[in-house]
Amino acid sequence: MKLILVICFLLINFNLFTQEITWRRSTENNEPKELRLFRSTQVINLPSAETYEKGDFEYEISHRFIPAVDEKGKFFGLDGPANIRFSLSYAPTHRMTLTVGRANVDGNIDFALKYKLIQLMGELFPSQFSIRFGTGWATNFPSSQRKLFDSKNFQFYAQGIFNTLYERTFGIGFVPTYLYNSNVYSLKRYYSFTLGSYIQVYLSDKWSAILEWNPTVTGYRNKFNPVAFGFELDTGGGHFFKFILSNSVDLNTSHFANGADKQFLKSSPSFGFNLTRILK
Amino acid sequence: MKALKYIFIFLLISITSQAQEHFVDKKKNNLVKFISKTPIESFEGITNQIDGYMYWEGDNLTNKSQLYFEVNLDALDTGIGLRNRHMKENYLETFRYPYAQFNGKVVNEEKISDNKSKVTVDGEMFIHGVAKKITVQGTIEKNKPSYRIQTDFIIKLSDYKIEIPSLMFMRISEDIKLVLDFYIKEKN
Repeated sequence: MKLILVICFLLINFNLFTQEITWRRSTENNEPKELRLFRSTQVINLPSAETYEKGDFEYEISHRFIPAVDEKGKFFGLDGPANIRFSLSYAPTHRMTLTVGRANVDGNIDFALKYKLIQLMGELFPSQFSIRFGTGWATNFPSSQRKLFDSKNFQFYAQGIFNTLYERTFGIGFVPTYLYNSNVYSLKRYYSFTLGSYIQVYLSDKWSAILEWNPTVTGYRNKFNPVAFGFELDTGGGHFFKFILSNSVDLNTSHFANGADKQFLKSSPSFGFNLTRILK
Repeated sequence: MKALKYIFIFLLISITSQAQEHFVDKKKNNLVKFISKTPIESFEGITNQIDGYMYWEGDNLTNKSQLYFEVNLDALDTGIGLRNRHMKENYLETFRYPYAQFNGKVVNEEKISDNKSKVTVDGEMFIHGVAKKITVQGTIEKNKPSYRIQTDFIIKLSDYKIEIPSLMFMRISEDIKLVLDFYIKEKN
């Protein structure tokens, strides 16, 4: 009897002296993650579904050189003239971005709101969907017949943005766009519906290649569908340089979505670039 | 009667053995900070998301010492959202290695006041898929029911196979100073 008691107590004490650690990882403090697929919030002219992180400001300046790259005496078109747009964006939340921009074409001022609605954390094809609404306002319209706030000077658009990323390398996006008052120069109100798409291939942690296409499905279109090809250099800390060749020299969405003047491949493209930088 | 005597003796031994497991007290203002200093650009990242435990028996922290702490690297904030993303996705690769982990034991305790000790900890640091043995010194201050742990030390990014960005807009030092200031308390 005594022996049994001794063994029992020894076992009890052995367990106490070799106490197993009871700590387990807690997940209570882990906030839900925002899915990040594309590195930049903009591809070339079309937006990605990405938003900034809360509190971020971003400045962008972009150029589209009007002369084609093979135009004589224009140094690959870089001597200009050029369409220029600069903008400032702010993220009041992780999922919302507000942008105000100005382009030198018709003194166009644009406002946009982007909001990320859905993110699907799949292993193979993580995906996200955002919506974007915006307006373009031609403040320097070349006509004495129109006043500054004439309703014909305003264009409005809505976009749905679907993105997915395969193997963290192949980014694919679709951007259906509805644009109201597509041709701001016309007395008649037109609309355009386009189905933009792009592929961005991440070649390294800094470089990626981009192909973007924005065909008009129905409604008004300038002569041709815009196509752009280029490279993105991600230098870190929110700095992106994009070097592109395109048949379109438009910059803001309300201009870009109504088509291009030149036919891609059958005429020489123009050079352009986008530079973005986080201000903080 | 004799059996009861044995029970009493063993229970007494068990109670006085004072096995103590302490968890990180998440209600306190815990701080984990890394500091990168270069002549061109300096920045730091902070988080309060440290977790883990420390175990010892009796009054001496070195007695049967075990400790494990981990930091959620996804929670690091450098103050710029896109810099956070870039750092996590391209350099720390937090989608593969979400935690920086340290597993070790207190090997030396030196009292510097009634409630504060200088301690030396030997262990293994695990960052970015690479484990490296390190020795760290710090202090532990007893303010029951909590203990405050403070330490700072330097790690080399190359030791953990973290490539330093070479382009001009994001200068990161090869030597990163880690500063930890956090609290543990006896598990409930």
